[in-house]
Amino acid sequence: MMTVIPVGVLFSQTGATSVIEKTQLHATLLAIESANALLSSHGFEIKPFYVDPQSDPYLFSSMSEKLITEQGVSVIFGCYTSISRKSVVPVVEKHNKLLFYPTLYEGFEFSPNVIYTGACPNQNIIFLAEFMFSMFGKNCYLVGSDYVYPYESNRIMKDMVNGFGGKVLGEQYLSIKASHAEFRPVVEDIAACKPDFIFSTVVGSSTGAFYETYAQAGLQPLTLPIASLTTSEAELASMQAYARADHFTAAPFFASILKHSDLPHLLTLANQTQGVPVNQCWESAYFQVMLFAKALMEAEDTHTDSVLKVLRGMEVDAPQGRVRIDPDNNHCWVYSRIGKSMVDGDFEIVKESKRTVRPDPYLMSYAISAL
Amino acid sequence: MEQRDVVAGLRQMQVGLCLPLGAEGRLISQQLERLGMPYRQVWPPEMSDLLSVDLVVLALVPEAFIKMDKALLQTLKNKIVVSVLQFESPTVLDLACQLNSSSLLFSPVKPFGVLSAIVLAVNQQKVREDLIKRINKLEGRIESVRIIEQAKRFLMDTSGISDVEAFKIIRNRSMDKRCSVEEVAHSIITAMDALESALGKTSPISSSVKQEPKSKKTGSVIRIK
Repeated sequence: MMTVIPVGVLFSQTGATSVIEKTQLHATLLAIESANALLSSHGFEIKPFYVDPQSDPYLFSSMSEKLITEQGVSVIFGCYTSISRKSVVPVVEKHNKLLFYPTLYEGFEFSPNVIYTGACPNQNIIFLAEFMFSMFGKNCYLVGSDYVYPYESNRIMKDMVNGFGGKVLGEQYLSIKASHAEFRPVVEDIAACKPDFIFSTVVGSSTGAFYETYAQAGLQPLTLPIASLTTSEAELASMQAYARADHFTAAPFFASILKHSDLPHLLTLANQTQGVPVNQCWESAYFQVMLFAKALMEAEDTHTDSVLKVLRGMEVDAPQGRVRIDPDNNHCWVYSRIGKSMVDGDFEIVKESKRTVRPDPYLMSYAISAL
Repeated sequence: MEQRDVVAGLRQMQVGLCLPLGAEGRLISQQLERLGMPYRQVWPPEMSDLLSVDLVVLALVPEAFIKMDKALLQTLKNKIVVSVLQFESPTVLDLACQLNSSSLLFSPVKPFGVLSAIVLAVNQQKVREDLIKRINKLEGRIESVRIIEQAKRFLMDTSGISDVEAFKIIRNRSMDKRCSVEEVAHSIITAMDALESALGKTSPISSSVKQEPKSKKTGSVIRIK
């Protein structure tokens, strides 16, 4: 007899960050389909309940509550922004359920009820800073969206720039919905300051506005590129082609891995994702479902405590390579990679760590580590 | 151990509840009502609403503080601050320290814990104020010892008397005049200073005494920011 496992899926289809959340939704549903093929022999079937929280923190909270109390889900896959995660964490903690969170974030959190599958700062920003310092210089201009993730990321970047003898020439925060007009004075200031590179923590739909305004002002990526943690294939796809090329992003995964691989399971995946702007958040959303499926098969039980017990230290073959859940902090061992953006909307990987990097969500000092 | 009434007086305090409207603000305001503490909810915090407030329960939403007016930050800092944290990240903790938070509440806040946070914050403030008073008093005392020493030295140098005799002269004078030993010492130094400037010479003693008015304002030297 088949045991149906209801799970909640919580990604926004509208609002400022829906571009990327839609790709996470796509990955989750695709992974559930693949997982079910494996799970059927164990007598399990995952049944997704999808709801659209419309980028509203209040809806994230109330909808996750409903998924648990009305649909009986024991697991939720979801959330992009930190504020949406913070809205869901108390709910899963209260009911002792699980949240799988597939997004890079600022760290400084541990909940026993959350599995964090995106990169934390020691896995992307340090690698990126080291790369940018050595390739372009240490004088930096910071531009971000106006919320906690950019503040924290910029805090780390500032510490590193200052620690390595560079200068922070400017720091600006704009609304997550900022328009081209709002970016224009920022870009003019950047042109006047002449930094070695720009560190962008602009997220969501305003990313395109920023890169396009940059290109329209005639700034040259070859001498003054934008370095980012959040500009992925999804953001490149949503901007004009002339604005895309020759900038840098640090992430554990780029779509080009999938496109250039000859591993059979990645070839299948590449076929299944034609036309989807596959990106680091897509990938985390994909492999975290695989992790859950594997945990289900091992635990043979859906109770949170049983699933958590087997998830700690569990490894899975993700599209980026083999990753592992850290048994102590519930974050994921992932690769550090630098991609250079290309006009076709993909990234060419220009640097990568030899092995997965241990997650250190409570990173306290920022000495460039031996990766 | 001595028993102290840590909750007495709480109902006479004015609370500024600086939280965005919503479930969390409602929960804390209801708990304040149960505690019988008068409050007013203001968001975002505004100067005019905070003037008569003793204690603020303050949501550390970084977006609200990163561009906040300095005068308003200073006003908040001078209150007893209970911070409500949603993030435990360095930026938010930095803010909690900058605002001199005396205790913390963690989101999602439960009714249990609100009173404890308030009592702890009020106590922290009292400890701090007592320390400041004590420091000011001690500084005053050091200052007075210094002045008496200088006056004594002047008397010893000019009259060739001993340390004990010089002190006796100052003390007798203070008893006659019914004023403090320090005041007598001060008038001696002032007279000495006037004399020396009339004669157009400066001695090591008088030049060091000239710095005296600056160090006399001991109260302003130590200020807890």
